[in-house]
Amino acid sequence: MFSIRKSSIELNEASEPRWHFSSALSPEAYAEWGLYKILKYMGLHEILPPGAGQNRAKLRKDIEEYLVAYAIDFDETDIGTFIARRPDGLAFDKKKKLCIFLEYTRAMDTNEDWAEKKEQEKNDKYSSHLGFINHLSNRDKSGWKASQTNFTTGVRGSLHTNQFLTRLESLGVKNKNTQEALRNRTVQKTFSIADMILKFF
Amino acid sequence: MRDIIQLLPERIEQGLLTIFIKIKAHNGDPPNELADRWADKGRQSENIRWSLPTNRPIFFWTDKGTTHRSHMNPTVKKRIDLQVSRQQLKTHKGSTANFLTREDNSRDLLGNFHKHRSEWIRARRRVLQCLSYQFSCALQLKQWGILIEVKCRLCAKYYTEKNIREPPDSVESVGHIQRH
Repeated sequence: MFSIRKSSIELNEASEPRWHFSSALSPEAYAEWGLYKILKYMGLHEILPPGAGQNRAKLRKDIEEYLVAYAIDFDETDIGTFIARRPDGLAFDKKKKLCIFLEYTRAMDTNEDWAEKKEQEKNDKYSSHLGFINHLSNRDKSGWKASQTNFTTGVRGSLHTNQFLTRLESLGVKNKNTQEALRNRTVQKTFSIADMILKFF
Repeated sequence: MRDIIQLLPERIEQGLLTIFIKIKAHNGDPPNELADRWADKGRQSENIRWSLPTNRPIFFWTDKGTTHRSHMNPTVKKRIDLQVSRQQLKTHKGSTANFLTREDNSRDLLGNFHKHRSEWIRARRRVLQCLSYQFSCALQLKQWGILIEVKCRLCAKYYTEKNIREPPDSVESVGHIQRH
């Protein structure tokens, strides 16, 4: 939807960039990190050398432990889906030990509550992942906290202005002009996508 | 000046020709210098009322807490158009009107996109089509030679929903509103 750099302009107490967008490859591209990589980055899971064959088994065991602890019904395929799911982007604050899942969505904006419904859907999708990370963090006493931030745009250029700007600000985009430019670019991009689809109608 | 203007209809009635010539001011032209002296004299008079209202209408509007006032000019025209469109929009109950009147949905950017001259006019039209759910009917596309199929999928769906057995052969307009 819009470009993300490796680190934010906002600085922490040590005058270092506060936020790290580790899955970003370049301002235009980013990789989707799976659960293994996310946990490895946070130091909650150790990726063993290839061929050791214990990575998946250990993670599965941890997930099962979490699902049992919170009395969540599951079967084997659920765990496979759980591991395979990857958020669109990630933001890490190493000092404060915060992990934020970033979700970018282009939703149908026919109804009044288009964004709320879609965001609820997105929150439900990753709530168990966030719960699992927080569970592991509590168990290992690592201090990490995981949460989610959604950026939702309507297919016809709708965008909740205040919400969008507040979320950008929470990720270190404090400059009002940059915020406005990002909002503008996001909506423009949506229009160009709509235009591209209609060209083929 | 008032005397001259009052004199004009009389001259027109008598069929007399009146010619106005623009004189460059403060350039030594004797009648112009005389007019300047009369003006100076008139300014010193106590009878003069510079605050006399003119007949030109003055428009007031409030924007972001500030009240503006002005005679008719392009800005005022734009404001009037905006107010009229807002009033008209309220009278419509369709999905497009509902979409356009939603608060806090970045509609300002939609307006900017639509009036931005650098955007291709067809792109702007397509965006309007997109937000009003208007697409070309298959019947119309057949007339243009784009489609071979005559039956319109969207029309057929609508007629089925409304339980209309025989859809008409001709279309009412190029625009096709998708009901939902």
